[in-house]
Amino acid sequence: MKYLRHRLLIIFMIAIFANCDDNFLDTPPNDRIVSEFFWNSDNDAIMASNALYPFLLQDAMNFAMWDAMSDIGHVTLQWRQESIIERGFHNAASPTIARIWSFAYEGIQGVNIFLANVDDFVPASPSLIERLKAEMRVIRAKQYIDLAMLFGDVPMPTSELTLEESLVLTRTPVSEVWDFISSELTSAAAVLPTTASQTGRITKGAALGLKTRALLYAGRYNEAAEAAKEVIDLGVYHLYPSYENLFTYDAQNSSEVILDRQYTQNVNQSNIYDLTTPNSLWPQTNDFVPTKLGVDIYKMANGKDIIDPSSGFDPNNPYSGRDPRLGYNIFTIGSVLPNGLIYDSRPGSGTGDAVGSSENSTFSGFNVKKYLTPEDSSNPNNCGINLILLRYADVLLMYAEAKVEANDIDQSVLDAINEVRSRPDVNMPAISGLSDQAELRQIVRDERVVELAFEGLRYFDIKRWKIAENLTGTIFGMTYENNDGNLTTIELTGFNKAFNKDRDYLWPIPFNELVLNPNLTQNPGW
Amino acid sequence: MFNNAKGNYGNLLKIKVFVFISLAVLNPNYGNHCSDVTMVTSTILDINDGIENNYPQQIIKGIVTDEAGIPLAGANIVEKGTTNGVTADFDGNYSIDISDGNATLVVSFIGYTTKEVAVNGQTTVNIALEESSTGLDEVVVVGYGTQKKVSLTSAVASVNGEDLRKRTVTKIEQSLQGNVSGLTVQDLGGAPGTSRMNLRIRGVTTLSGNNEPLVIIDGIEQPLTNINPNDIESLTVLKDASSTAIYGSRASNGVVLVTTKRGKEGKVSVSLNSYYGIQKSNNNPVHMGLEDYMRMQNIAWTNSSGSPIYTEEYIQEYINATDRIKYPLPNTWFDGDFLKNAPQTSTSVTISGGTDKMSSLLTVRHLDEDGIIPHSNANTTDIRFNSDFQVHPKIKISSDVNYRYIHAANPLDPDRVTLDMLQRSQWIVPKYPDGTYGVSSDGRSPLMYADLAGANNKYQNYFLANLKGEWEIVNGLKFTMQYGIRTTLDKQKRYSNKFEIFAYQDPSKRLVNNPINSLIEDRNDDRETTLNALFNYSKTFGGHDFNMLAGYSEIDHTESILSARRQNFYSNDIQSISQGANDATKDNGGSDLEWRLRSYFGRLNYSFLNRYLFEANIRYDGSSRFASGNEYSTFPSLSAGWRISEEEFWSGLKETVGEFKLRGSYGKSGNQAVAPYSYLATLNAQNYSFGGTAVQGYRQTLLANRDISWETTTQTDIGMDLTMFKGKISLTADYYHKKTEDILLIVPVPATLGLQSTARNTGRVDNTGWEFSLGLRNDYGDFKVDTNFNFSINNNEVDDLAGTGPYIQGGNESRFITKEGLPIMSWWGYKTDGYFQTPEEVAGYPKIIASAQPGDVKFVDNNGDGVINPDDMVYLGESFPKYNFGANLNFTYKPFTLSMLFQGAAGYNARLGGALAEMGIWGGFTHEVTGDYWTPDNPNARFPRPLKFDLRNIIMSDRDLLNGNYLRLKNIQLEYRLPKSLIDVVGIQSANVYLATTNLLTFSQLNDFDIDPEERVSGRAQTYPQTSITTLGVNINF
Repeated sequence: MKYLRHRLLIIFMIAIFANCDDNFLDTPPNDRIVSEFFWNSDNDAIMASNALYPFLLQDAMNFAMWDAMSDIGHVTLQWRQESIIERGFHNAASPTIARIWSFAYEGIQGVNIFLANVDDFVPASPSLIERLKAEMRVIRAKQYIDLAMLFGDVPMPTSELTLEESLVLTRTPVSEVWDFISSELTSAAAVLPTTASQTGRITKGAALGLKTRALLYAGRYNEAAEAAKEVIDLGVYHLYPSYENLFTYDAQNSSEVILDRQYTQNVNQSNIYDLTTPNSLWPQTNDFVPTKLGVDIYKMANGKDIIDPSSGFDPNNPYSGRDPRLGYNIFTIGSVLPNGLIYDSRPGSGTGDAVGSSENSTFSGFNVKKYLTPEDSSNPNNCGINLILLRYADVLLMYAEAKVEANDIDQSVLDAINEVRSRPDVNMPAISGLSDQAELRQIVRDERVVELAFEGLRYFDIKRWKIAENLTGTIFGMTYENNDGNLTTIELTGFNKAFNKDRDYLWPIPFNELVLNPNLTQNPGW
Repeated sequence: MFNNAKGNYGNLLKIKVFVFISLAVLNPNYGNHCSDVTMVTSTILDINDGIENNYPQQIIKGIVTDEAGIPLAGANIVEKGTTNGVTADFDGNYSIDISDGNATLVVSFIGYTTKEVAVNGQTTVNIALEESSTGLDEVVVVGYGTQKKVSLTSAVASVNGEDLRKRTVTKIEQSLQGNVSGLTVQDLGGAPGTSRMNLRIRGVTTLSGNNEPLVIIDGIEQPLTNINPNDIESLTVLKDASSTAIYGSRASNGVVLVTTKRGKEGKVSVSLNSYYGIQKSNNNPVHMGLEDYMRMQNIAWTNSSGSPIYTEEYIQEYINATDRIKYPLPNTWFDGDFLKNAPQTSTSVTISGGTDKMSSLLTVRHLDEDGIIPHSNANTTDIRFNSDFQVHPKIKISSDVNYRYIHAANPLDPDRVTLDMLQRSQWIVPKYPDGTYGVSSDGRSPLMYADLAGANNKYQNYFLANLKGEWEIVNGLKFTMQYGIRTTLDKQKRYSNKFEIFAYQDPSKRLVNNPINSLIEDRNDDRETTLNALFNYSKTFGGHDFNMLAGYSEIDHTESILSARRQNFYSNDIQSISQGANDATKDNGGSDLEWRLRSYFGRLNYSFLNRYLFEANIRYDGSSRFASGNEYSTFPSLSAGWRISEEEFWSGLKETVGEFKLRGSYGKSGNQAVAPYSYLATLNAQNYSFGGTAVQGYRQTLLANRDISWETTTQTDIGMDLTMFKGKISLTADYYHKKTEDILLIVPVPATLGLQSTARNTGRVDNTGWEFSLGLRNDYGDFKVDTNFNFSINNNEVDDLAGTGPYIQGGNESRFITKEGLPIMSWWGYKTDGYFQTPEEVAGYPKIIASAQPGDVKFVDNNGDGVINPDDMVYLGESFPKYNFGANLNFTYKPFTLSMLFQGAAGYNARLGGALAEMGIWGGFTHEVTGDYWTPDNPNARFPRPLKFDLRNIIMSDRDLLNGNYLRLKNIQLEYRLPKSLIDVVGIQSANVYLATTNLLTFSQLNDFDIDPEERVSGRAQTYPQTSITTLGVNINF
């Protein structure tokens, strides 16, 4: 009997612990959503669209780095990939190139998956679904604009891609990519509302504005001018009265903003402050700084070039009497920092900004001021300020440029430029009585760089204008009065900004892509 | 419990002693460890001193020897039919009190035939044991059972717990280093309380990352790290498929089986194992001398910008200065007192004993480790209680409980301290006279970081309950049921302080400002249950021996992670999550995960005449990680052995070669190491906000692979075991071929796919190799030699990537390739051909950078196309050791034993990166070895010309690879056994003291840079510094 009891003990153990469930190996996840159970309602479509909005801009780095790789900026830390590109040392294996490429295609596939699934259910509001589809197609078109500009001919999947398909894609000629972008944005604009139902969502104006940019980049000037005109004629966009405040929290979502990457502190934040702030405010990174070229391009407030002997430019007081946008965009000696102290980048000034005082101090004596707001200073990696991707002033200048390039010069060209110049706190003298294409071309280009500096556009502008190779060589910084009372110009000896005209107008197709897909070809020179 | 009346008094005393020691060990205020141990020890002496035996009894004395008369220290002498037993001392002497003059003594010793001797009224009984022929009875733990070592047909290596315990280590893996052929242990260092050990059995089989062997402790999968070394009875490494197939889907990386000690029938014994050690930084890089450094910087600046940075007067002023506050030295961390010597103490007490009805073993251990960087330390408390109940002659119930608590405290990011020390703290005065921290121009200082940045506290509670019942249903048929629950509760608090640093020279100037304090707290709850049910049947008739096993197993694993973040605490001292700002800055997150395994398995052993041996295994495994239809797979194996030495024709040789066995095996095992849910297309949450309002978003980011399935390793092994001259020489040799197919590989997919890759069953990797293990032991009177040498060669090759690849990972810092025909993760980069010497040479050769000058690295245009680009990259070497070797040498002379363990690896390269390799390009540590740089006067320099802010010469190439080969004296230990005459007085059975040092001597090219050869993760040498520890310890058995 006792023996039996013990045997039962063992048998009970089996009964207690053994699992006789046939579905024992079925362990569905509860911490993630499985695609098969998604795509059931309008709300699912909204959530799926929300998740693709970050593809408007990868991060603040991808906003700030472009101008630093152009003539008006410089990448402070030379180990940065952006510095390697600035010096022309990059190649097909450069991580930044792969990152930009990958991000664009991640967005494209995201939109393609969205479009493939969003019709899987009967929507409560068909018009909502149509609108969301149009928004997503604009996001996809935005990726193709970046790809076409940087890489030229690129693979162009327009529907959900399988792994097998991705291994054999071929490059679509860039003109067809521009055709696709244009037609996509045209049809999306037809569906999208003029005013967003929710702040920050893509509107008709955003689609047409991007279309303008794409056509301008593609050199299709007549069409670009038409698209810009459509944006202007929507009548909903106006210049914000203060340029100085345009890049602060006060002006967020103003009627000048056509498309932006929305950020919110603690939820969906950027590190724009961390990236560009002067070393004295945040002694960590200070990645990107303006160059002498990026400062000298600002004319005097009277509209004259600083090298014009009659301009009134005073080399001993170089920053006074200039286009006010210089002071709004760039910290120069004597500028007031957001903490109230005076910016003093002279070598040996004893401030963290003194040239040569650290690897992270400005090398040029200048710092970017745009988007540095006191609200973000306490936590520079938790910035909530929206970064504007397309604003009305850009559209006006694109309109002017397209008309000039199409040699369709009329008063509307001057009006567009003058509208930008006459913003109340800019108040530069109006351009008048000009009709020469070459002269106007230079005016509109100069206006673009001072108006749109450090908004991520200059790198693309100098490439499409085919002037990038002329803007290379040794980098210079500020001119200041040294201890002996002589004017000295900072020179970054040994640093050579490079651009090979036979190679660098297009980036190389990332090396790993070529390895994985034998159908892809490399760009010339790489 | 104690049926021997005479034992009671002594046992009670021992229990008191045990309780006392345990309290001392567990006392949270266990501050001054050294004196505590002394105090405890002296207390024991006092107690034992008072023992007076009031009972009349008969004392039998004698000596236990082998046939040649050599004393057998440690032989067991038990009075038959009782639990009364003693152990022979170092000289083989024993003394036992028996109750009955006609008692019989049972004398046993490992490797010798047990002998029974009747006392017959004698008072002196000398016993000579016969060596059992080559340890015929030696038993080895194998999957779900044990086997006689001689009848093994597979490649199995075993280490006994005593050998492991001998080395004073904090991680048991360290004591396996160099002890087992075919097992590579990489000790990657790490902060106290954290472990970064890589174990690889017979090479790397998979590309997906999981190459760690399966570790089974007492039948339950458990982490090996942190187990109390004193608890280990034996450790077995299963290497070939024949031995591992029984573990099926988790076994392709080999299996480590650990058996913990159990209470034995006999008197209650208490043993104490305690040590005190001092750790010191093992590698202190030497900075270039001040003048040399300044001159090198001048050359670098001149090369880069045309003019030097220091004037000659300034250099003279600087080097002649005595005021190192005004003129700080370049980098003083390694020669200052920043890296302090740190104590470590460990005390482990074991009490064990039992009757024929019940036996138990209780162990308590406390380990206290201080780190060599400030504010880093860890303590571990471990309690184990193993019990066995013979509830019926045929039924035995065992229950094991193990609890462990680890608390590791470190600076916020301990690796960051080393990073700042090496890369970012040039010219710093660590601390000014008024206590102000010196910081670099970008606000860094390792000391400031360690002291002020914050704290990283990790807490782990580990519980194990292991219940087992064994029922001998009829003679030869046994049923075993086991149920184990393992729970790990991890808590981590990362508290980032708010703090400011003001300049010493100008206190109004704030140099560092971290204005917000914050806390991230994580909880990870990990639970795994295992159920094993086994039938064992054995039958012997004629010359036939059958052994059969049939089993069933279920494993259920769940994990859940919760994390929370808050910021803006009232002060840095308030560190509870509820005290942070209750606003939008608070954040939380988490995840859940579950996987299960269901398995059926069986084994058949058959041997004929103990001479012809056969074994077959099979496991049918199902895993929840795969979609239905792919869940199950079968893993079979077959093996056979032939003990040639048992054949008639061998009889002439038997005296010389006592044992000679040939064996061979073939089988499959699997790997299910793929992230759960990989077969599903899942959507991840993605945040966005519109107009300042957060919105929810979901997006697919990973490529789903519905077809994902098992990875299978097929392994063939041919081996031999040989024992000569009665065990004086033993040799084991194995050849193996391991082919892993359907590797679960995260195949890089084109970025144009827009989804991240997940594991796919792709490709094949081959490992072939040889393993040798040679044991030599002999006695020359009082001098005994016991040595073991092992050597292994492993050739790894990626055989097939199924038309994909090559896969290139990393960048200019370190780049690897996984390509058909090459070993996994081989170094990949440019070949170099010295330095450009003349402008003509520069002009006449392609350059990676157009502005190359004499003194720059000449990268080779491998394909001769006139440009240097990624197409010119080539295979540069292996990153994982091909050869591993170890030598375990033990010399005993009278009471002294000297043990040395040499260990090494060869056939691979290491890469140095970061400041140590970059020659002062930035403001990082500049090693004196880089002083041999190129100038026109020094054209054959080891390093290129110095440059400032320019990495053109540091592009991943063969120039940066260092020969990784090393040989090191891993451990040396001198042990002294206290004489019987001394310890007898206090009633101690045996006691020894030892002095040991680890990593005393290292031969390696990495010594040039003062890099530890075992630390080779990133090549930047910026992980927690590795240490050498010198310990003084005692082992006492009462």
